[in-house]
Amino acid sequence: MKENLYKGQNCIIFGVNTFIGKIVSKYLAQNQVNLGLIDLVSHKDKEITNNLNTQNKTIYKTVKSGNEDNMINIVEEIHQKLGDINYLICFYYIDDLQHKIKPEDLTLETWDFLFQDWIVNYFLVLKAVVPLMIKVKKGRIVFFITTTGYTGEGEGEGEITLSGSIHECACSSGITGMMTSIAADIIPQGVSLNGIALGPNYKKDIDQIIWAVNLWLSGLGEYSCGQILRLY
Amino acid sequence: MNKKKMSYEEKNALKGKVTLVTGATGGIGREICKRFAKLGSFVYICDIKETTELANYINKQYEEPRAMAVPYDISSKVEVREMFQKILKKNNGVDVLINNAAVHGTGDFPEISYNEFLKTIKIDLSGAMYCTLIATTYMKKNKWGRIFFTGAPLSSSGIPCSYLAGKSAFIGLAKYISKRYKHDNIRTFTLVLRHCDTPMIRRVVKGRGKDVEKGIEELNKKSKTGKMITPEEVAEIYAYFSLAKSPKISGLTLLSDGGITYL
Repeated sequence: MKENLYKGQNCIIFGVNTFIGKIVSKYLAQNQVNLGLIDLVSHKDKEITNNLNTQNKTIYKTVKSGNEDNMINIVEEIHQKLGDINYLICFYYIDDLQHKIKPEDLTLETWDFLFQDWIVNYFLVLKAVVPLMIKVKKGRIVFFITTTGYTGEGEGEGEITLSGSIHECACSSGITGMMTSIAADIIPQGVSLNGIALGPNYKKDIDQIIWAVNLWLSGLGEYSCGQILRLY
Repeated sequence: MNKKKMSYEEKNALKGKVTLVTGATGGIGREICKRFAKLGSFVYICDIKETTELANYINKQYEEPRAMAVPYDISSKVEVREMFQKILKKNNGVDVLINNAAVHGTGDFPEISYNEFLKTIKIDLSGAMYCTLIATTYMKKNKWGRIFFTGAPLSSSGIPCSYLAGKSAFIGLAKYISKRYKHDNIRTFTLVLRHCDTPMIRRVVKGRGKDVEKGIEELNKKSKTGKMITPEEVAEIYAYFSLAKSPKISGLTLLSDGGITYL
């Protein structure tokens, strides 16, 4: 893309403190996008803002997990300061997930934690942002999940590499279904929602992830509805 | 379904096995319970509603008891644990788990309320996860297990996001368990349905303000077979898969919607 399609656009990033969140934020900041950065934890604020080094507007907010009112208020505040929201990108702590939750973990508590932190918060941030996009009849949304939702586990279809957990798998495939239904509901109103599924070795090919983000944000995927790019 | 179609059946093939069916008093669940009892399994009938009547009905068919009511709310972690404690008093675990419970939910996005979303997804997804996590723990120990899921196709439109989140999770989940626990002889299977002539689908039709019989007729016509799958046929498919012994027949997703959709 020779022309900078992103200059002056506004983007909310949910899960900015994640590995990919930081990289994508930096990439968009370099492309002169105004950023509303939201996360569940606040301890990395300075690291994020220093890392971005942008002249564009940047707002950082911490949201309480599973709190609808809090999410709506934060999104509204970002909306008032930045203007219409063009993009929403949602990340989760996939790296932490794959290190902290062991594959043999079959506890109900782990499920409850992940269910709220990942699925419910993706739903809530959508609930807060989508009505604003519908008002202006435009918006592009990208969800990040992992490939375990398709393959069970592993890097390629049918392969087993023993990564991920039963909880991660259920969340990823559950979000896929949620996304498919919501994408169909909102595409007639000018808002697209698509996804990117990361494999276990996603850190090795950042360019590939940026390429996928560009596909969904640039408009090339405007006619895609609830589709997921699987990056094995 | 005639007797010829059931020629694969091994009499009392599941004798000594314990089956837990969730959503057991609905149209599909009821038939599954009856079918698995017929295969010789002892069936725990789980539903948020009272399930004693169905247990009594099944027990009258046989000389020995083959069913017990476990009326618990699977969206509650506490209640699921209580239910398993009750089952574990008499058994070493659950051998066959059929995750069939679901509520359809209502509301397009973004109108759907947070409470409605949570209510539906906690039953459809978290409830199935709670049962699956506990059941898998014992299946691993016992080196035998069958976990089945009643799913829905991803390509469906007009289905609430909370419902589809739960149903689609099963497809990945079944694949995961089949791979992770294949050496523990745990097999999984997801049966993906679009429409099935059950009380739930009739409630959905009515909720859309349509005449129920006309609505059901329209749904029958949507299927390229000219009719929706019946609860008895669904139960028969689960029964067939419960007898599969090969690890290759695991993690499968079978779309049985008469050609309406694609996965």
